[in-house]
Amino acid sequence: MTTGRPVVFVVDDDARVRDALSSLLASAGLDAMVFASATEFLEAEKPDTAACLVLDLELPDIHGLELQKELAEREAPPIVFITGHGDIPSSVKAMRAGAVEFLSKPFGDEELLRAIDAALALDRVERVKRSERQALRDRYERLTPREREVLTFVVAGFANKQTAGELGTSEITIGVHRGQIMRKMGARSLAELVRLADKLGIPPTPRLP
Amino acid sequence: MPEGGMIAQVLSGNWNDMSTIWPSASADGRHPVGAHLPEEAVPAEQHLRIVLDNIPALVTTMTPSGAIDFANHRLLDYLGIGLDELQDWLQFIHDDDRSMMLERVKHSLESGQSYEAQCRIRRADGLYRWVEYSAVPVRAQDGALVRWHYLITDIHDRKTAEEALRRAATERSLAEEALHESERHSRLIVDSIPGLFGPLTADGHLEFLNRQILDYTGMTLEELQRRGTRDTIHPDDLPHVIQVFAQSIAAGTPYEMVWRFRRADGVYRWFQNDGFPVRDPSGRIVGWCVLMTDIDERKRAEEALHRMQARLSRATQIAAVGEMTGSIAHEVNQPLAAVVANGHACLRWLSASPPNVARAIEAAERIVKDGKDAGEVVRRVRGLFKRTAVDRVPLDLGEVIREVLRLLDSYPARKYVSLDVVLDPDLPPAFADRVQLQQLALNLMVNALEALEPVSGRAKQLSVRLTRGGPSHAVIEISDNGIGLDDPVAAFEPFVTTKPEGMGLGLAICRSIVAAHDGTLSAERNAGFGTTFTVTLPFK
Repeated sequence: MTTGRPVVFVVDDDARVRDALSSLLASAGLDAMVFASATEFLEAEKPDTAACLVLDLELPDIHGLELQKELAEREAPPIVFITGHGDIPSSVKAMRAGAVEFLSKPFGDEELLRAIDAALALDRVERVKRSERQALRDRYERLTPREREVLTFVVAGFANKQTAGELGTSEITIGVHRGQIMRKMGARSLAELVRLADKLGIPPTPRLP
Repeated sequence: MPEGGMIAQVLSGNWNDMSTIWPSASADGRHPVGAHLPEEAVPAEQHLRIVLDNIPALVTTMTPSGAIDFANHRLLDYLGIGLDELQDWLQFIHDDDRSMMLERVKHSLESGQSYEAQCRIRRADGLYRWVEYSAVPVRAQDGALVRWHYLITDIHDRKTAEEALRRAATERSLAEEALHESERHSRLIVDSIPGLFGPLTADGHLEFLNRQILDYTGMTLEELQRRGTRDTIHPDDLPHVIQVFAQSIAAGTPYEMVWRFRRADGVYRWFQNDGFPVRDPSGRIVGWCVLMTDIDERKRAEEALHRMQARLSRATQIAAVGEMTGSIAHEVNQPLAAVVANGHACLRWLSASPPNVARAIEAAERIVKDGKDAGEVVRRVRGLFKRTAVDRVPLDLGEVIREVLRLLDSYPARKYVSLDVVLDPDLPPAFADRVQLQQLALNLMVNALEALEPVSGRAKQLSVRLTRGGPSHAVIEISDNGIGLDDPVAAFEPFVTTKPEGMGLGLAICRSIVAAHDGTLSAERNAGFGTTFTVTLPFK
């Protein structure tokens, strides 16, 4: 659910840089939220909208790369690094860990805005993916435990008769479960159900030899 | 009666009746010839007397009651007395032998058995001499004891000679025994010394080697003597070893050095070598004791440590420089980044439609402020590099050099370099900064040692001279016979170096220190090998 305008988070301990960047971003029509430290950023309440993070590599409380690692475990926006040191090993690490761009200070407005645009686009795609995944998960939540069990046989390609044999019930009962599963998951075909199960990371029951 | 038979009878005591032929003694105990004797007996008796008085023996007789009733001339002459005095014969016996003799005589008088004894008697000249007594009893036909005959033989010379011989033999064998024992003991100790031990002759030749050396080298003494230093001492260490050794032998002073010694399997191991002179009581050097201790492992550990330390300090230096440039860059880039971003923002506010002049002005104001900030950073950085004020105090330059030499003792390249230091003790103090002058001396000496490090095939030398260059200045010369400089002038430029690890700043720093002290620093190639650096410093 994309709500409102995108926002650019700026984390830099230097007030001069924060002021300059928020002015620059405002002049480019972007909303900016500035923070003086990683802690300040992590603790702040952030709007639920497409966003990106312009992150100074050298922060007083935590190193930028360290923060990047921590954020990777949450659903955090893409990162554009800025640095006054600009050493190669750090930039390589940052890019490998998924940073959108690594800019050495001083940088031009075009470079920064281009990187921010790319980061925001990336975040929009990520947000769509995330919401789709969430919707799918919601649907799966509606399956009964028995239906979830039957699902693993269905996606593994078991016929209803085989599944019934495996689970010690009638073929008709399995047919009813199968119909419910297709309906609840919103799958129009077996192929689609298999794809959805794969997206959810549900492992098919292994076929016996 | 044949003469021989008579004498034999006298000496063997087989006379049936001595009284038939024995003349009675005169008052002086000497028998006047021909008195009261039957005519036909005279020749025999006279003859007997002549014989008795002249045989090379001392003869006397004693009655069974113990009275001396005859003594031949030789005996009386020997003792220098008359027969009367001989009655008290015990007085002629040596104090230490007297009781023994008295016992013997008493015993024989009682038992009637012959006996022999040795004792010392006092001769006419007052000297005691060893004699041998043979006492033989003479019996009548009925078996009754009629007289004792004594034959006394001077055995003094023989006995003393024998004794001397015996004593000498005993002493010799004791001495030999002791010598052998001590040799065995010494050998055992020498072979058990936990090190390689070998004495040298006074002129430095191999004399003996303990078991450890023979085992270590796998060679015999003869082989090692023949081989000398070839294939025993590492060729790179040889010049130094020869130099130290020759000096030590010539001066008679102990030496101590470290060299690599070849093991039987061809591996060279590091040894600590201590040599000290062995002197006789007059102080003359009669040989050298040489002890070699295997320090290979210790040495290798030390070297590894030194290499690590050197690498570490170099790395620290480089890291420090890198860190500093990094932080300078950061300090400058922060305000610059703000300036650029504000500039862009300013342009954007102005080019917007309609232009947002208020925000553009804000941005422009920040540009001015941040620009000033950047200028301040640059000023601070320059201050960091500006030479700090020199803290000048009166300094003993010799002391400064000695301090630096002490610092160098643990420097790895210092090994195998012989130092030749002459410092004029009478120089006035120089007004200078202690730390800076230490740094100057240290830089120049480390420089010299590093130039010496790759040298092989000649003894490495570093000489340091502190002299008076004139009424107003001192001169320090630091000279090495190392690999030398290609261009002594270019050497002072920053970042010019011949050393793979060097940063090329050392000499540039040296020159700036000297300049700050109003002195001069120059370098010159030596006629032979290496370089001489000359520093002049005013006393002020």
